[in-house]
Amino acid sequence: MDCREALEISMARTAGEPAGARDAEAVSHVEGCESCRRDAAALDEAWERIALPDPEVPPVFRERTIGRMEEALARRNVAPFRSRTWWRPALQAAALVVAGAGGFLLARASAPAAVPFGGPGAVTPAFAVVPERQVDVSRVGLDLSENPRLRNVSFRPTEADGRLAISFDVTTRYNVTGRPEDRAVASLLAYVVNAQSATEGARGRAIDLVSSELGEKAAASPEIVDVLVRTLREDRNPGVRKKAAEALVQMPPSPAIRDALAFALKSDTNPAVRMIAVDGLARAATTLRDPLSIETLRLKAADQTEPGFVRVKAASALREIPL
Amino acid sequence: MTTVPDDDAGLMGRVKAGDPAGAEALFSRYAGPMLGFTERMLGNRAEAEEITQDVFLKMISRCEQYDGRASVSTWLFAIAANACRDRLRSAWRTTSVPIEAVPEPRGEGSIEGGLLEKEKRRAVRAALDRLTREQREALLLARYRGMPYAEVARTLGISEGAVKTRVFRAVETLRALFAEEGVSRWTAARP
Repeated sequence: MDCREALEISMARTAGEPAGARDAEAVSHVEGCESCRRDAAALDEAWERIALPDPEVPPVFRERTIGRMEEALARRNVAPFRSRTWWRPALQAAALVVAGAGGFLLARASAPAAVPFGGPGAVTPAFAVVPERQVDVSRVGLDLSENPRLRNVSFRPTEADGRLAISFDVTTRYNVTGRPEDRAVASLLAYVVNAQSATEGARGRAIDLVSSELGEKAAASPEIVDVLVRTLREDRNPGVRKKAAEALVQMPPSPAIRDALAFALKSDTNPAVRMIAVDGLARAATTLRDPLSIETLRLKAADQTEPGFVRVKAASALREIPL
Repeated sequence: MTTVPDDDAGLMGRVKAGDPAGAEALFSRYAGPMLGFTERMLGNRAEAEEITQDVFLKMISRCEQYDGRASVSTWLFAIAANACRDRLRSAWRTTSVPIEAVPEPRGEGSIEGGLLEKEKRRAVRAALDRLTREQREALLLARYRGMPYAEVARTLGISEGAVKTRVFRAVETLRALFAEEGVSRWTAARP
């Protein structure tokens, strides 16, 4: 038996493999060969040194994945409805496109003029007290797995070059530039919206950027949708929840968005948030032909504990839904 | 009230029956190990989460294909290994810039301990990144999943002899890397 074969068998034993036919021969070889003894010990040491625990499963990731799994199971459990009329699905698809385009155009028209969101604004300052690291996420990704606390977050909306910028301090100042459609831009915005360490102002501005720069395209990012749904349910600041609701209402309705808006209409303490939820559910009711949205609006229209203006809005929305 | 079975085959039966409890139980059991495998294969947490999520969604969409001949673990990690291979081959895959966290002070001496642990994780990740894809996937399954070579072979669709060789070469490479960097640095990285 040569040294290499003896060391391979020795490594297999270290890895926990059961004894094989040639183990005794390999052990005898290693014991009798000084170089193999040294190498086997070094290999065992390397095997031990790379020990690492499994990573913790982040709660956000767990919740998002289990939610998707439940949706996938629900789809498997429902037999597809086959419409007898050919034009009904075509009409629904057309309505979805029109609603989505209308929402997108409305958001763009009402977006504020492109002014710096606050903070320094300039991508390259004339002077820097601290070094600034430039990261172009059109070419590289961003790894936020260490959960860094981002401070002094500032935003610059898309300029003539088609790129926006998000700057923040960690151990150094980072200036991250990219196109609105870059995946890393959506991930970073979702991270800021979700970050406990970010100020309410920063979270709100991140949502504004989602609405103005990504618009309807934000729906293509599951991270963005998840974090907006979570923000609508859980953020302590009603202004931030209102922005999250407005951003979600812009997107093509989905069951997850519908559920979040229904929850907000039933439970949010702020009437401005509930008013936006009415708009979103009305849209869901129309485009998804969704009985849950209609029922939620009907209950709200009849809810005597609700301020009059919310009830009136819910009732008006119901009247607009084509039956 | 129905109880969810403990064994993986029973849980897969629940998934085939459309029971979310079965799917969630399998997720709870394998999400951590799966994230560990995908992150060490890809070197990128965001991609690791994406692939891991895809694996569990495929577990549902392909559950009818699971015939019980291999263990659920083997089947899931085979899906993950294939997904990682596809991602590593992908032309548009980019490198990632890590945004480092400042360790939070938790108690006396804990920042230093935290930094050493972080340095160790980074050193191991950097070393694993130097392996070939074939060596890395075999080593990750054998070392971190404790899979016998026969199961690694089934998971990766290769022979047991190939697993033995790949694991050996992987650890040989790591040994050489650690020797290059110097014992003193590696010793310093140990918590």
